[in-house]
Amino acid sequence: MRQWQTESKVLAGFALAIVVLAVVGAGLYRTMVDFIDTSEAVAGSQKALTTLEAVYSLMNQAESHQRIYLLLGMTEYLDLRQETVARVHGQVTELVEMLGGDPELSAHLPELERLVGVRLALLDNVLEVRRTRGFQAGQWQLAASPGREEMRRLGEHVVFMQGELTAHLQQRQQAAQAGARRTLSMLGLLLVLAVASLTALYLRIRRESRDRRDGEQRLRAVVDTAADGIVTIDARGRIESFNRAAERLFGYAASEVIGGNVSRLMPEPERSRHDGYLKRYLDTGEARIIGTGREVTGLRKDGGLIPVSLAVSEVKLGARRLFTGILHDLTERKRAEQRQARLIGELHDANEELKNFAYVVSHDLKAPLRAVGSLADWLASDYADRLDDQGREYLDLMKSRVTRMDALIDGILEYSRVGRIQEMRTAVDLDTLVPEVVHLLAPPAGVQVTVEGPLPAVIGERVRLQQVFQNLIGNALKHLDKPEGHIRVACADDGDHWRFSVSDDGPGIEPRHQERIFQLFQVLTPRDRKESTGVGLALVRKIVELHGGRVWVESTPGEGAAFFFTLSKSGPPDRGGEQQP
Amino acid sequence: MKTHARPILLVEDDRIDAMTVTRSLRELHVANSVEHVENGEQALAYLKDPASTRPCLILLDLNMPVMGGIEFLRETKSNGLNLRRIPVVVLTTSEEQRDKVESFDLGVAGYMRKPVDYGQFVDMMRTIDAYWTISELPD
Repeated sequence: MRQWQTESKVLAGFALAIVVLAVVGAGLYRTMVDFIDTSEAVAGSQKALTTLEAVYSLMNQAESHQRIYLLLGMTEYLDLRQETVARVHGQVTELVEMLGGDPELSAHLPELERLVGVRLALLDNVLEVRRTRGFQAGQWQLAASPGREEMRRLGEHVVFMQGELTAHLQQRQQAAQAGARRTLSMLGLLLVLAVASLTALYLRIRRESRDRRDGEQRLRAVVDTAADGIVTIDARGRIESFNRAAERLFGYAASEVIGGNVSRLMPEPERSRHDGYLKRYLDTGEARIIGTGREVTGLRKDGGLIPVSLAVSEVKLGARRLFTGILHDLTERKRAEQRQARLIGELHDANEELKNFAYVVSHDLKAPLRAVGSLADWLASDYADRLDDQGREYLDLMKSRVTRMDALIDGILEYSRVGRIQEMRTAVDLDTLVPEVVHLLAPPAGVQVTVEGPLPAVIGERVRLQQVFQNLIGNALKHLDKPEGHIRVACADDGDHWRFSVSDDGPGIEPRHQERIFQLFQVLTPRDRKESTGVGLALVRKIVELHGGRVWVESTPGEGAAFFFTLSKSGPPDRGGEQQP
Repeated sequence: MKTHARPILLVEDDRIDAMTVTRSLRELHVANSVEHVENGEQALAYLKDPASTRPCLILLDLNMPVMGGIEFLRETKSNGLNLRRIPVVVLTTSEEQRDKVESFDLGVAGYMRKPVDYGQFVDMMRTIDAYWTISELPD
């Protein structure tokens, strides 16, 4: 768009300059023609003046010749006199011709002709007297000089006409000069205009070309300093440009590859196929890589192979089709990917190790524990008669600690199993599951457990959901500090989640403990007083979070506690993990 | 046990676990003898030996050195020993689903977790004895 505007502006500027120059030329031409006309007129006027002079002097000559003839009777002077009169006639005729075009001047000619005619008639008259009445009569005539008055008038008329001619000439010259001056100032103005417009044009073109040069330099700088290799090829696959990053990437200098086929930058089999790809694209438009990008392998000058991502775009410059390839070195990324793959592998191994650890714990830790338990039992029974009360108490304590450690190991195993092994996900009807859990927990007589149904069906792992309710209701029962109590299980619709609650009227939990209780092995009462592994709530949190929900507690000490957890209505998020058969 | 003539084959590497089994059987007045071997390989050797008496029950631990319980079960299958007629009860610490599935796929008659408490252990052995006292076995 801008290109077009510039071009039309330059064109308009040139057109203006040419018009101005044409006008200047036309003006000059006209001025020259005027000048020539004026010059001719001047020359003509000069001649007319001379002719007028000649008429007058010839008249004088004619008179002189006639007088000499009359006085001396020399006939050759009569001849001269006749000849001179003829020349007078000739000059008058010439004058008529010369001034015929000018009505103002030619108006005076008849008077001139009349005066010449009168004067000549007088001369003729004297001559006639001489011929008819003899020499003496002629001389008298001469002495009377009858033509003197006419001659004076003729002279005056000639002077008058000369004056007229000169005035006319001057007037014309003045007009011509004024015209020339006007034309010249006009031409000067136009020339200034032409110079100004050409200067503006020059500045415009210079700015344009500088802009263009700047643009090109900027583009070249961008291409040269680009971190990615940029290679341009023509429709035959010949390299047209090769930037510095491409030089670094392939190890070739640009001068080595420009003009050569781009296929030298590819390993086989691409090298032999590339011309075919290009031809097919040009023939059929079937693109393998143009317009999209993909990962390819490049061949360096030293024969090394480099992974690169290649994006090719097509550029049409008039009838020419160019292809620009942008090459990004993937070596680092590949290395990073390998490193990542290795790390993932290590992580996988570590995970496997952890799984095995749980397995090892279950086998190898339990066997000695069981042995300790059995031996304590056998000691108590086999040596009952040799043990005092203290010894029996010690053995009982030992057995109870064995039982606790067994529970802890089971807790660890259970906790590690959640999320590691994915159970079947099904729609679990909580309206049947929760009463089952309550029934299993067998609340004591004074404690009332209310399930405020209907509870929804949720998608999840049945066993895990059962564990959640079992632990929450179980905790409420376990920590109840009085014989009577009320535990309430409820559910609320919370948009895309269900919000469940298990609330009790037990001792409640102090705010400072409310986050800690969800951590593994955190218990608030000594284990001697309340047998607890500290796994239950950690397990609940892990299960709920794996099901895409969250769990929290609201409690005022002394007024009971309410445990809340949410479950997504659309089911738990997908996750990896082995599926249990 | 239905018959007192045939021994119980106990495959167990842990000495105290073996003691627990024999002691509980003694406490339950089970008259059958107990043949104790320490791993699957020894158990296979016992079963292949023509001199040894065919057991009426095999109590099998899973996690043992040299040859574990699962491997023992596979071996007995591929060796063509007619083990199907001898009930195998797995006595193990493993709660792994994988172990349970494999054991039953290999035809065990029962899968029991060894309780830590000795009293519970005795209860478990009592149940096993009671069951195989009632259940008939092929000769």
